[in-house]
Amino acid sequence: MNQLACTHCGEPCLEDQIVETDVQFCCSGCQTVYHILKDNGLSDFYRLDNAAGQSQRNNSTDYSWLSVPELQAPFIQFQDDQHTRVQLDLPAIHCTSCIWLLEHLNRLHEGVSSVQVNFGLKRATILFRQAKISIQELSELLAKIGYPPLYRSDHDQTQSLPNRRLLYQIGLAGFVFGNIMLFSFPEYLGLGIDLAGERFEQLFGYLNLILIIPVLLYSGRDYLLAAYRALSQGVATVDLPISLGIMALFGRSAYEVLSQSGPGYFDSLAGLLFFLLIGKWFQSRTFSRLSFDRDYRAYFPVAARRKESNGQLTPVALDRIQIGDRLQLRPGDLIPVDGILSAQQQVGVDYSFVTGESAPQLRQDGDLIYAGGRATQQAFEVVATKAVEQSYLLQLWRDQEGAPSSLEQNLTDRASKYFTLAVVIIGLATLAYWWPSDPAKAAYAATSVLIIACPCALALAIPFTYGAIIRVMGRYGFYLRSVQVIEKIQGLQHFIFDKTGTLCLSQASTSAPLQAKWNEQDQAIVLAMCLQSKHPKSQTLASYLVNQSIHPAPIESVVTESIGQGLSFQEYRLGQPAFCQLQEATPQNAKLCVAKNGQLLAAFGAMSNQLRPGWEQVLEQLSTNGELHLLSGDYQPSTQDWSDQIPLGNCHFEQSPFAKRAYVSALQKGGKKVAMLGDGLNDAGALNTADVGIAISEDQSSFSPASDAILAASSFPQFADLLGFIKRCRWMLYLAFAVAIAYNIIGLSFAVQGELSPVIAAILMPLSSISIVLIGLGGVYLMAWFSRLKTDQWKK
Amino acid sequence: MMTTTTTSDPLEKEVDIEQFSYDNKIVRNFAFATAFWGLIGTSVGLLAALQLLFPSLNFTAETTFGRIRPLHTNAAIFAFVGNGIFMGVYYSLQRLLKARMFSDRLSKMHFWGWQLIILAAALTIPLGISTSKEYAELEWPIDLSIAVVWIIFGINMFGTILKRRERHLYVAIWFYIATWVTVTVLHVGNSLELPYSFWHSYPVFAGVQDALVQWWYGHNAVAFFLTTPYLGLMYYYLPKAANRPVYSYRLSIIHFWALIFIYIWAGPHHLLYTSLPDWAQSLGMVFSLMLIAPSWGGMLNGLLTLRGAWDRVREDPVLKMMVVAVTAYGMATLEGPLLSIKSVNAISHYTDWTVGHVHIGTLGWNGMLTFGILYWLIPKIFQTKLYSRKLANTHFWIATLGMLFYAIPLYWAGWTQSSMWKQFTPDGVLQYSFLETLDAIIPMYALRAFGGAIYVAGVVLMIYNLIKTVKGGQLLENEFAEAAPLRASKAGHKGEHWHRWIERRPVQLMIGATIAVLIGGMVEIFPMLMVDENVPKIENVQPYTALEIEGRDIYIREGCNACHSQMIRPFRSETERYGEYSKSGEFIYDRPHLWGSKRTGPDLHRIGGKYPDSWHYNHMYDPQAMNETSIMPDYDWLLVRELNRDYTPAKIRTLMSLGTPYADDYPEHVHEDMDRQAAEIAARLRTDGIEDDELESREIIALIAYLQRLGTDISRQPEQ
Amino acid sequence: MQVILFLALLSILVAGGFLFAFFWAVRSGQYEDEVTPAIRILFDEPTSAKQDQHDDDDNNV
Repeated sequence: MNQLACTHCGEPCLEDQIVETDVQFCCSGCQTVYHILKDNGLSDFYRLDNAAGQSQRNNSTDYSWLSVPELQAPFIQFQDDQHTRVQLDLPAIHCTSCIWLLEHLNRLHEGVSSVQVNFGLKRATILFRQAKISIQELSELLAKIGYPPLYRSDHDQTQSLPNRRLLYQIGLAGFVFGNIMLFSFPEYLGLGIDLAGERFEQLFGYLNLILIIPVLLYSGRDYLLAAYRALSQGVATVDLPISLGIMALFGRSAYEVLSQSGPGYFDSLAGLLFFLLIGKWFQSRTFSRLSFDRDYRAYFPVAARRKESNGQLTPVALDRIQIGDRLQLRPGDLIPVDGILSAQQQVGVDYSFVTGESAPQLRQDGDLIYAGGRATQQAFEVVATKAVEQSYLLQLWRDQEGAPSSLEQNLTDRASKYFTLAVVIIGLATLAYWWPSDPAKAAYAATSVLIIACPCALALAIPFTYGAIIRVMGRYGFYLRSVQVIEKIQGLQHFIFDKTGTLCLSQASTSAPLQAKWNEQDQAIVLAMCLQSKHPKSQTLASYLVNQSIHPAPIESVVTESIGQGLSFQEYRLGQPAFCQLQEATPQNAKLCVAKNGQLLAAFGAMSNQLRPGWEQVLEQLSTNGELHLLSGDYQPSTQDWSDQIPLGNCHFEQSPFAKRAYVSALQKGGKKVAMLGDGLNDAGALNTADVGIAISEDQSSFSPASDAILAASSFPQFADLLGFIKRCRWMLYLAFAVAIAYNIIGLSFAVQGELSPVIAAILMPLSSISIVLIGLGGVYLMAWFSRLKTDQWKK
Repeated sequence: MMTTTTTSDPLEKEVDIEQFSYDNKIVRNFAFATAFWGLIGTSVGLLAALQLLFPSLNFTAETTFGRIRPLHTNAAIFAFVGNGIFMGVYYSLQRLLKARMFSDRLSKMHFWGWQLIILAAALTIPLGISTSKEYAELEWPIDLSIAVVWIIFGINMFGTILKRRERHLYVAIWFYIATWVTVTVLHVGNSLELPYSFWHSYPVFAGVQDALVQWWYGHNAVAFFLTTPYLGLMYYYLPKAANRPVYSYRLSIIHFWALIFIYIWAGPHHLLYTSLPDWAQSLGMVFSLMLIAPSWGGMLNGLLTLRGAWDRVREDPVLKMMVVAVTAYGMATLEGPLLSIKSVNAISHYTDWTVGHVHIGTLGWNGMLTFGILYWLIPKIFQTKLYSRKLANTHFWIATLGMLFYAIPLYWAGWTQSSMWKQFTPDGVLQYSFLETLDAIIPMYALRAFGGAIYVAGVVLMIYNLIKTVKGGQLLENEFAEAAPLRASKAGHKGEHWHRWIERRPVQLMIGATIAVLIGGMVEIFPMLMVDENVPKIENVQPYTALEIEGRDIYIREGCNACHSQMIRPFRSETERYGEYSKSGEFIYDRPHLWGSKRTGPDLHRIGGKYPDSWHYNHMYDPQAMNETSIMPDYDWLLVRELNRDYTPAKIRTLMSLGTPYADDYPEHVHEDMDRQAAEIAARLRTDGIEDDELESREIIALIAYLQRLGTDISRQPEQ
Repeated sequence: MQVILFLALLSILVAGGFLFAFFWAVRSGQYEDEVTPAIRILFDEPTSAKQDQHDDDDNNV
């Protein structure tokens, strides 16, 4: 059958397609949007990018809670008597047309004043007249045209704002650096030759002095303050020798200029700060679109539906839920609090989010149910027995908060203790050596030592090398939270895998049926049945049928689902063999049957969660340089394909989130460096505790638990290679260090003899800085180029 | 001040969308002017090129090479490129800011003002009204009107920026702003001159200082008139034409700021090996080299924008031209710094290499980008399609070939001539006479003229194509647009004033203070500049006599400095050929300096006393008579015209007020003094058998007086 | 050679002016979005749809 592409979203139009003259749609939603746009003269939208729309199938988000002022408050940026400005996350933004459409939103609704899209952050700043359109209507309008806003309860306005002060500091340093070079070079280039030269010398000197002061006090302050703090805490960080150098440079230069004994080292000082700040900027840039520290609140809706005594529903913020509140949950809703179930008949609660076990569990009226579960088929009500914060699951985080965050010291910091010591000693030695013969020279030489030993290069090595690694990894779909992570990765010995959603695909799959004697008609109806159920098995079957390019038959009446049994519709039944009331014998190891009037139509074997593609090589490579573990919330499966790589002793099942975390910390107690790979809420505790928590995520906009790194699911196959690459990059760092040391030695050899002229400093310092930068950047990118990793990113 | 955002208050109106229109008329006007002056500028250039081949083409005094060359450079830079800039800015600025130009009246004034200035230039330069400063030949009344028009442009631009409806200032706009600010400063800085008559003036600075200011200006005229605005245009029109965003917007921002902080200081590299202090020369060299990085960043950013669209580049003449333009930019910005390396410069300077270099920039970078923009923009505002893509493609190929035919021979010529200049025979004497080195490169000149000719042909093609396009379409004078006005800026400082903002931030305050201090410093230093007491003095060096001053002004009028330098560099090859190398102390009375930048003819700094007066007399009458391969035009009118002495006292007084130490009563006695000196020269001429009763009053006498004085002071024994 | 001071200071003043421009740009969030502005300039005005058509032709014919 020929498949038409939807004019709006480009998705294949199935048999329920709507065809108009020369346009067709996959669903009425797309049709609506298309006409809205056309009627408002926005059809350029399609010209810019063919079929640029978002599919309108299964698009039902509920924004009614936004009608409550105190619920919308946190999302409002600014409001006056006329206008309101909100900043909304629109994950659906994916192409240039999106920008165009959204920024012309005012054509769709006159209440909208202006829209400004930030494509990188997939975020829109919208100014509108609250008199004409409410934030709820706005959200619904956006949802209607395919950009449902994403409201997170962990939302905060300030997130991912770039560090402006750093930019100021860089700008200032750069400006001054340029001009000071201008006034210092003449000296090096033999200013004396010129008859009027000597006058310049003084004047340029004073100009430099004036120029350097703002740089010192503003651009340099962070280093000075940090050094001061470090001193008062008695820890040696790299800021210490840096500040030492800065002060020496400034003091000495100021003295030389004021006493007119020399030109000073102003250009070296300005350059030093400029390069340091650039390094800072370089390493501070990370992936604005990703959020590495989402806590549980990210998983829960902003509000729940509370059933008042008079029976009507009012939205209520989660933290406002009180014990005894009666909350209504519709199918698909997340249970926000621990509570007592109140429902007429049995309901299925899907705890896969918490445990990883996908089959829904049966609960009945009066049962205690825990937050984190999901309502499957029927709507039901829960009477809260705890506040959200108190609920069982959330202890995971509450306990975390107690944990002290260890003061993260990187290699440079650790090295700098000895470094500083060495510098001071050499300085003193120099002083002592010259003092008897020539006190003036002694001071000169000693300060020279401090100046030249200033570990600018040392301090630049990490930002540029690691910064480059972060960028390269980003290209391959492995997103690191910060440079610290890189160092932690170096020492990893243990790798713990979660099963469902990590080592295995979260979506179960099935192979061809053991037996099948059904025609396309049957299949169409069965598909239709499956589509009405949220049960994982039905969904698995559905996806299987869709892959067979079956289209659901239009069925009017409702499919009845008996929990844990199966589905029945007219004469069709599918589910447990028993449920299907087969006349004939059930085929061997048939786990799921489809029957029509007791006639077996098809029988399926176990529906297993498939292992991720490439799992074998990944485990293979990892097991060579580390020990592997598997922690799963599921019941132990019959077969464990991974037994070759993961010692069965390390495989543990039916693990609660707490057990997982305990397991990790147990290993750490044994002094092991542990990496945890997980995806779900149930791994969050372990991810947090592990030295390196890596969250696997199917796509950028979807939630991933708090972690040190996010791995694009598509990049899983080369996970081991990526780790290997990071470890290899260590050598680049060492090389950079070596060079830095070399420069210091050369410089020192001048300094201790009191021979360090400004020219030498002016040449040596930028030279070292630049070569470090080149080694760091160039080295890493070259290695990436040579190791030929396969570029693989999330599909936009 | 930047925080005030919109002129109309949206709170009053029912809906926030403002409807307005873009002014396409002004864009069209500038576009037409660009095309027209493009033709003129290149044609005049062609004439100049041909004059170097056929001296007979120097028809009249007004059309001698010495006056045609500045006419060409001014037409190309300020008429062609200038209008091109305004065309590009007026179109893109309105759309980038979602606002009509600040004031249509100002736009009109700007347009007509600029055209008038060009006209004035086109008239005064052939009439010999010139300051002799390259790219700044225009005399003070025109300088003033340039300032006025430029300020009008500024008001119009910043006004538009203030009433914009788009919060973000696209990087192109930053380039436009930089252009305006720096050009203002440069123009003022280099036009500091003291008039002695309505059409003439002397510069405030003399000799070396004048030269430094001139090349600080000269270089930055290139940097900020031919480069930054065009980079802005590139960042707008290249993405538009390719219909894809610039490769890396962040890179373009870095490109801008890096360029801004380095460019302004590369100037002195134009004076390598001159009497400029050594360190200042090297400074220019260092900063020039630093420039490679940002420039190439910009070029790559431009080219990478087209990655994945090369199939379209093959099709589309607009993109093709832009690609060549950007590449030419890369080449020129690599070559420039290389030429500023002293050892390279030692070879290239004063030769045609430099000429080739600048033409890669103008023909390639400016020319091609302008053509590309014209082909893209005219159809757009005339709501039609380009009349013929075929013609446009032809133009592309012709122009590219023309450019190569122009540049390559000149590189060759430069290299050849320079090495011949430096060639010694085994027994240590110069191997070639200057004329021989010139004859050797005449063939390259012919090739260059050919290249120029076909480039002009290309321009003609374009104009035809555009006229047809315009005829086929209909100008959309006011292009409808709508956008929401800006409201109180979101950047957390609601309605706060910038000075309040500073007061709350000590550091910014400190920077402000720093700059204030610097201003103070300037105010102090400026007067010191007027009195040059500490420019190195050489005992013998005396001010020019009145007659010599007149002669010097004739030298300037005729634009002799277009072909003759007055700066002998400290190389053996030059001291052998011309005499002792030039010292900065010799120029302290030179207002303006006449160092020149090109040696089509030999250096003249030590010409004084080299030949008898009669030689000069006859040489001016018919250069070919003295040596028949010479390409110097005849200046026979100097032999008949009477020297105008009316302004002489005024000139002397002006020079005195600028610090030239004449005897206080000298202005009263100038005429006697002139008569005395003229009589001496006339006598010598007569003894050599030159017959003319009016001899004493001819212009030629003054010129000879000047030439014979040139460079003689240091060798002359102190007078009695 | 006092003129050098004159030029130097002039240059600093200009550069200083640009420094402030830079501060303003950063402060007013000019550089917080380094992607969208480059794309936004490509959008043409509603009424220019017809012209765009031509423009497309120009590029594809």
